Amino acid sequence: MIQALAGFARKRVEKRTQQVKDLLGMQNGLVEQPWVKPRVERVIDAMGMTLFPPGGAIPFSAEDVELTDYMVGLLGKIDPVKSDLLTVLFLVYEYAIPKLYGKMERFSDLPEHVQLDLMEKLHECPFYILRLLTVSVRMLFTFGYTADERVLEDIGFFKRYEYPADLRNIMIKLESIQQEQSA
Amino acid sequence: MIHRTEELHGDVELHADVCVIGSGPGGAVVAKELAERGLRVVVLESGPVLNSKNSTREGGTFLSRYVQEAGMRVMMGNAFVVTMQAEALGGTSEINSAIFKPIPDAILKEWIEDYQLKDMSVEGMRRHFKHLEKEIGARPTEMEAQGMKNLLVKRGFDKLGWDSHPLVRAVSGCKGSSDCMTSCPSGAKKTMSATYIPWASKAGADVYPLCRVRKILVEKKWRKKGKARGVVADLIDPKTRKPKGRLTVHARAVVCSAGVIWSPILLRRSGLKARWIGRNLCAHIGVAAFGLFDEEVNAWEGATQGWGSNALFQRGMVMESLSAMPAMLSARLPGVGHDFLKRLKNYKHTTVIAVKPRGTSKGIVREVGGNPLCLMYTRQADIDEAAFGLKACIDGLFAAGAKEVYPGCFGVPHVMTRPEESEKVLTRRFGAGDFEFMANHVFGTCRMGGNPKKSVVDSWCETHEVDDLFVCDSSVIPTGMINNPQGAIMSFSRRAAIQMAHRYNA
Amino acid sequence: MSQANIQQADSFQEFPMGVQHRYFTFHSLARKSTKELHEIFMRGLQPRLEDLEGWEFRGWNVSSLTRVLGFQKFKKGFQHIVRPSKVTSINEYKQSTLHGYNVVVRQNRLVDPHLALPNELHPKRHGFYLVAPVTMGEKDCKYPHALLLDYSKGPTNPIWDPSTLLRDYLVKPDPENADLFLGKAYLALGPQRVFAGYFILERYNHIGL
Repeated sequence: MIQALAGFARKRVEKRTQQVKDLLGMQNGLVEQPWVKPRVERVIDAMGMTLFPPGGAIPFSAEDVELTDYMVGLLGKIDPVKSDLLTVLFLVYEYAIPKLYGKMERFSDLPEHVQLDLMEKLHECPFYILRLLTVSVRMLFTFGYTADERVLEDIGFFKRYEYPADLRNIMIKLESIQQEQSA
Repeated sequence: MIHRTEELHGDVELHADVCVIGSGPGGAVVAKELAERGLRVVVLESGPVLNSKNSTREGGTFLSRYVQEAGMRVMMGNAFVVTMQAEALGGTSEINSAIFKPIPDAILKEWIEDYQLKDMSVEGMRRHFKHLEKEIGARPTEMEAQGMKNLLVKRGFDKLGWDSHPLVRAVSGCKGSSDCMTSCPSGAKKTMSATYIPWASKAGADVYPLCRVRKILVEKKWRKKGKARGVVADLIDPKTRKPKGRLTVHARAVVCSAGVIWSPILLRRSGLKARWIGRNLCAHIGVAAFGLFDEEVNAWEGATQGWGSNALFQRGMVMESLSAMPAMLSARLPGVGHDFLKRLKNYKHTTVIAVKPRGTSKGIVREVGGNPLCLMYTRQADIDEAAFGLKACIDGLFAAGAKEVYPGCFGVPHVMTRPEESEKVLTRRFGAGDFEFMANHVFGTCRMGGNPKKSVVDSWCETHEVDDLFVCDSSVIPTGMINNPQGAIMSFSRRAAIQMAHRYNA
Repeated sequence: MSQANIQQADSFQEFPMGVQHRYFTFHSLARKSTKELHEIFMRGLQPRLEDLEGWEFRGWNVSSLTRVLGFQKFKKGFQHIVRPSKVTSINEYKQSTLHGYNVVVRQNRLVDPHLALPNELHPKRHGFYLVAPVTMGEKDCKYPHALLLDYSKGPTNPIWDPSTLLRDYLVKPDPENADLFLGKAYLALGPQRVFAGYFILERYNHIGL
């Protein structure tokens, strides 16, 4: 009985949510909405440049590898619910997280050194949820950063086989793998 | 025959003796065994075909196409534990490292005793495993395919005097391209789509990728046990991944091999009410440590996981070398900004040792809004055991000659430069949120047992509640099992399939 | 599934007094009654000293009173020491210089890991004993087919430590399983030996790992 009621309630909620989405013109994911996309792109830009700044050990910054386009594209490829959740997460980073550290501006409006300081603090935050979200976001950004073949080349990445569907120009080396020399 | 589901439209009806849901290690073995014994078998797989022609090493794209929930599934609770299951023809065998190990005798005996599996014996299961091991061609990873990353791990274990051995994998002629997780390009890895699925197909089975089963048809009569009568599935458009038609299979029996997460959901959707469906979610909750070396390691060379140690086996843990695409593992390197870039630049000097405790934490799987919701409470005892295992990994890396080790947990130095620092991992009281856990080995949501009140399936993998409905995947495994589960899943499935063939051929 | 179709089932082995078992495991022994454990103990074999040396074993006292007293779970370690201090005869020394100790562990569930206290780095060891085959004619020779863990000969037990009263007998219940042992504990109260309970040991980790 309870399960049946729960199932009925769930269907009603789903129907109403869809009606609200249709009303707001949100047939597509949240990130595609014209009032959301520029904000998300802005914060992804800022976070990307903080995580992968220019002039580092790898000479390509987030801007050089077009990380923002990658991330927005990824949001379009994954399940709509997760895509919406990630979009909300980025917006939380933009508007809410700086306020936890006493910064009233948006994340993307903060000076670079303050953005870096904030990201470092988030990685060391005693609150698990904040730390987890930051590490997860960084993981996604690393996917995007290492998607660029120039970054892979710079770190010495190579392969011995091609994947025809992988259009990137990955270095192919056919020599046999090295063996450990005897001590 | 492996059908091109793209060519099917509208409503399709099929008739078969047995319908198998899922083409992973469980479903593929069942399909092959039944087809070879003369039964008409239909295999439905929700994912597309994955091979070296359509795979990619680009992490985000690969995960979004071939891994359930784009690799972002987490078991939520006091810790958020990432878990990945594939959605492709061949199941998770397409993205694992093909490690092929038996169920440890002590654990199998424990299951037989604790879960009243009266019809099962250690010797019998061992025979099934040996047969499968020979059939799939599992062997120790050759030294030529190890690569520096695995040989460094070997060096560390040897120096400490620990058990140290090449991992036995279902691979033949490994070229060490380290592409296990994105579909082996050389064809050396014996995935289900390279072995049991084509063998089943050759024996007459019909395989339909891109068919997502919605419900199992159960015929129920008042006050009698239900009987499985087939399935209803959606035909999936490969581009949009949305349903474009319906496929109904009428069968004498249904084998559900949809995996730990989806099997209980399908059973519940189909009206089964057994208390333990979706409960008892268990996992090998693993942690890993990075070591930075002076020499060039080139983690993208060599078998993905080639070396291991059973030094902690009796304690319920195994240690293994580990690698993955730089995107997946490099995100665990510490630091932000220039610090992180420096470490990423040095990625070619790193290797990883991972440890997987058996674990006693439990969780549940439920369906919410058409999607799985996985909840798990990670017990303090498991967290402390993980810390113990992590210390062993750190010791192994320093013994191998690492100049820096990154333990990957909160509350201890992110970068350790001296072996003595590993002791900090044992003196700190960790919380669940202090580790970046990952658990790709999951079990237990349709556990087997002799008591219908405390289990979902019997020792032959048939559900207690509904006749002719079987579950053949890792969800029947009652607890964690230390070793990688592919061998166990295939052994249970083969055993069940042989019995099914006797019944349905009669 | 019909019985006729079962291919690989083993038959049950019947013990007297209705003790049924297929396999002995740590958990299954922990659930058995004193009567059943007695039967199993009497049919057990003497463990080899080599099988014990260098290892710590997870332990479980079957008596639920030990849960109340706070030592139902424990670990036992076995290692050689070069100069045993309380061996009284050259024969004892020749037969064995294997000694052992107990480790205090967290009192959690049977299925949970045995976690040393206060931590794995500095585990609290206590209750030391000498390990030797039972010698007929000695005071403690009740079970000739067992090993004797004699706490009165423990090298570093303080004189006031009540564990010096313990005498444990250890057997291997399954001849094919060198990782699992069944113990029977007695308290030495003067000339009397009072049965204290059964305990189970299973191989756990190398000492020092």
